[in-house]
Amino acid sequence: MIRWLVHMWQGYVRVLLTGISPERFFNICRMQEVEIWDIRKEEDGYVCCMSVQGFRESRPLIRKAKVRLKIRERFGLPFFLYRNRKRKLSALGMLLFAVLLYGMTWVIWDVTFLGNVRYTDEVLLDYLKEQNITYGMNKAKVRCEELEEKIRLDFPEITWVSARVAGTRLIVQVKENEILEKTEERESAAGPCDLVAAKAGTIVSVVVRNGVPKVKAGDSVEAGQTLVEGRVPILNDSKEMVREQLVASDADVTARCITEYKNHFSMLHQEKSLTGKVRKGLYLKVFGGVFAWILPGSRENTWEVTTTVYPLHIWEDFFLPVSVGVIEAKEYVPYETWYSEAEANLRAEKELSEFLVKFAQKGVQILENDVKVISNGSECVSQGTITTVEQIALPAAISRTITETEENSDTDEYIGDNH
Amino acid sequence: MFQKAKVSAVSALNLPKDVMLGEVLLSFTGSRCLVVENYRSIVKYEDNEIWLQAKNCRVVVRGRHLCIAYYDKEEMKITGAIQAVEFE
Repeated sequence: MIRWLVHMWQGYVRVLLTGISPERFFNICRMQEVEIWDIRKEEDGYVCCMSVQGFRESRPLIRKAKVRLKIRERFGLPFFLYRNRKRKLSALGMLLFAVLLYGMTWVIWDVTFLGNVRYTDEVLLDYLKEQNITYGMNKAKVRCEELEEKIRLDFPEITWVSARVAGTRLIVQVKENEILEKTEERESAAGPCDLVAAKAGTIVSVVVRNGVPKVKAGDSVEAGQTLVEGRVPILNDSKEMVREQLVASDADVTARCITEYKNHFSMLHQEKSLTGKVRKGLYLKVFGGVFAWILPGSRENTWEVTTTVYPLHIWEDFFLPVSVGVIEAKEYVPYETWYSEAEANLRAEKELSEFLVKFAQKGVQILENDVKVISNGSECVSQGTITTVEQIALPAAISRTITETEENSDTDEYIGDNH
Repeated sequence: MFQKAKVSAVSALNLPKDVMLGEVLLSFTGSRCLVVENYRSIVKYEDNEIWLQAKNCRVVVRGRHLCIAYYDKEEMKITGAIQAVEFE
């Protein structure tokens, strides 16, 4: 490929070689390092390719080898330019095209988000728009470090951001917090708080960072029961309580819990039957403007429309402000039908596995799964229990009476000092 | 005499013969492509045979529609329907 590009750039000729000893000419050229390639034997002689420079250098060698060279064809940029030397408008067009292409490399034409699950591309795009980062803006104005910082501050669930400009593409890679709920809860409970059980279960482990533990491993707890108290007693040298200090409790309390699972859906459901009628159309997006053409169809019938869009790009990262696509509309007739038992079981199992995956994503460890699927005539019911090991500590603001106790004790202490 | 001793020494020491003795090196890719290294000159080139001079022998490549894709001081690439290679 590189060799071909060099040949095209420098220009080359295809020549017909005739004479008594062409082999001698080839050998002399080889010794003089004159490049010859693609040699073929034809009826009237040998046809081969030579670079323009090689052709010029081979003149004395032609005389020496007593052969004749006749140019058959010319290829490459120098010959192309010479042939089109009078086509000034064409040259101007090509020049303008090159300038336009070069100009477009200064602009952002595509924004790609990677690693986002919680926040959709649309949400992040709207956010970028608020930050004045849009399609078609000068890429020199994109401050990636500033953008990374802003995203981290405005989206607390995003723990890591990397923004970079590659070609005409802005790539924003994010990493979201996987145990989001926990963070939210802790952040919301900035003031003094207890930790209470979010659900009933048997405690597996207790790791306290702040507060007084009220339960230990093996204890059974009910929902709402205090696990860690945010009221820390301050003792004097005689081990007597002087006062109580209110703190924001912080602990990891895991418990073995039993979660009830119930899901049901009707055995009667809607299906689509394709009639075979298809309408096709074209989609074009240029500089943000969208144009779509599709063949007209019956408005009474229902159509399933899919659009496949291909953003045009020259190299991997050199995106152009043009996207083309194909619109395909398939006519269908909706009808109601009953699930077979196997189909219902399959759907129930799929929904259960999705539920378990969501559970696992929250950091919940699943120990047992005792869910059974029962399908009667009209309904499919999945019911049972799932045994899990999970974090159950939930912050709860310390009640007003406790605060008052602290205040009273402070007052008493103050009065006592006066005495 | 000296050549024989050289060949024996190269064989005994397990040295590459193409480097030490200048032997011709042929690399086939199927029957459509042949790369010849360490050749000296082109003796004869026809549509159905190419004769090459190597240091110690002549290599004859026979076939149909034989074409020299490129050649330089070191190597030559022959394409076409190669049917036989002979050493003379």
